Amino acid sequence: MPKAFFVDTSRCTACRGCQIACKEWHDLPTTATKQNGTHQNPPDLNASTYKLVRFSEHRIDGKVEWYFFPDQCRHCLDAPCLEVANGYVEGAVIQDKKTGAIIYTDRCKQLKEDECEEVTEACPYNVPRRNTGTGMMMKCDMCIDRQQAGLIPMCVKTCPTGTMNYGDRADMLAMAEKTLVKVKKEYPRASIVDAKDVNIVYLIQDTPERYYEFVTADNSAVGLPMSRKNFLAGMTKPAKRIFG
Amino acid sequence: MEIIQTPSASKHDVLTGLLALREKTPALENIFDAFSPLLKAQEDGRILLEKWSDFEIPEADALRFEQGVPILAGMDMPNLGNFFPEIFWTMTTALAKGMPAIADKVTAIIDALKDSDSLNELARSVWEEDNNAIEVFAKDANVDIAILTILGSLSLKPFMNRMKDEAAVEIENMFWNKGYCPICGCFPDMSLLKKQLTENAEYMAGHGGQRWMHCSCCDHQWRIKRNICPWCDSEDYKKLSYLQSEETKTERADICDTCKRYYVTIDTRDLTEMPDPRIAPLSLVHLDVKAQEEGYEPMAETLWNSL
Repeated sequence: MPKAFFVDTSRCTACRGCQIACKEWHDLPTTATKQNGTHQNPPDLNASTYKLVRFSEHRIDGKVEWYFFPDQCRHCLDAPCLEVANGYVEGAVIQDKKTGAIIYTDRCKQLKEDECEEVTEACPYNVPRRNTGTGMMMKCDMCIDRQQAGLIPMCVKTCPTGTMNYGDRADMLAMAEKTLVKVKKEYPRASIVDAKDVNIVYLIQDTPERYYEFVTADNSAVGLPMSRKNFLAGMTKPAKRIFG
Repeated sequence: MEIIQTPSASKHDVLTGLLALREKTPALENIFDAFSPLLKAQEDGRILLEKWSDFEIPEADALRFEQGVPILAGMDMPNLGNFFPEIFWTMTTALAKGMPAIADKVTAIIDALKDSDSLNELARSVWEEDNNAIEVFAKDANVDIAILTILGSLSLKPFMNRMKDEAAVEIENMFWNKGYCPICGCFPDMSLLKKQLTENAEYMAGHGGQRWMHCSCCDHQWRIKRNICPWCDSEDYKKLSYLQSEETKTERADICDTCKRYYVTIDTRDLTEMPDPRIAPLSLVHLDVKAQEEGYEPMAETLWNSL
């Protein structure tokens, strides 16, 4: 049975335990950064930061609201990055059947720099990053090594607030629906994000644009006649035909 | 109050779970091959007894129960009908299949009792723990008493399991802090540490694991304090410890140096799948071996930790 996360951002306190635990488990180096006027640090995902707690601050109806969003790969059920990357190098990206995790393999190094850019562009959530040193495309691997050893992903293990939850997809969707009913009482604009398309299912307590640009695939479809995700997935089809 | 509860039935059948465990721990193949026919026979018995309802759970007396008397203690054996002989023969076949070394003794039991119409008398002797009656029964049939007792006990387990769900409803609002089963009074064959999210907690959700004991007889699970020995109730933390391998931090044998007893535990908080406690103890026999080597006795004797 495919696995999923339910990320209840209404419980997130931005402790960034998940962000650090991810780095620890994957043995990723720190990122040089500087004060940008926000606690969001580093400023964006990068080749050695697969998980980033995003901060956004608003004054709504005279009250300060501080929204936190532990951003990471959504492990799409039908991943555009997989389509694009495999259009160039077969087997560069695979989907693990047991867990549903989207995994970037070592063959990603065969992708040229501009092809890597296309892969990032194809992602409706703007997640994959290229390591300029190794040429490898980097992102969350859903701790596939831990899962294969029967252990839950590191960010879920670490989370002290109940924000990060992991389990069978059906159970996580049920948990999301139940939690939404509760959260909506205080935050009527709360919603579940793209649940039918992704395995990392977020609950947000306000509209997506109040978090950041790429919270939902649909939200990033500005100016496009269809969602960005569908549009980009469609774009890859000719390449698929040509490259096999 | 939510101290006592019976989790929903396992999503997987016993055989699927055994195959998965066998694949995960190939070193224990022999153990799985020996005991899987018996575990499958237990499950078949449970399924057969979905049709059995000729029993009445005693009314729970809160005062008596909360002082440590299990709800089924003192209950007269219900009418097992023809279900007991049917389960007994299934169990006999499974035992002979899994353990060829004792197959001749099992065959002797089959030969001696195949036309017997007094198997329910054997059930009654086992139910009432009347060892004299069992001995007489074994002598009359000229069969091995130890194996006959094992078969009688194994054949009664599905009945206990069948009654467990209804008994659990009777006691769901009562308090139980003992190390033995609140339903049938048997000791646990394992415990599970489970993460429990506190939905109403405003910020933090504890990482501490609740300890749930699994009954070696009726399959019930109940929660008890973590800092207590289920056997002797000792809370002397200097004498409560555990044995664990360096490689697998999620499995351990909890030991008590006051009573020199042990039980195996799986810490499920980091696991992707909740283990099936009906079969999980089989995968922990290395811990049984270690604990027994160190001089500890199991709280519940099972076939795999005593044979």
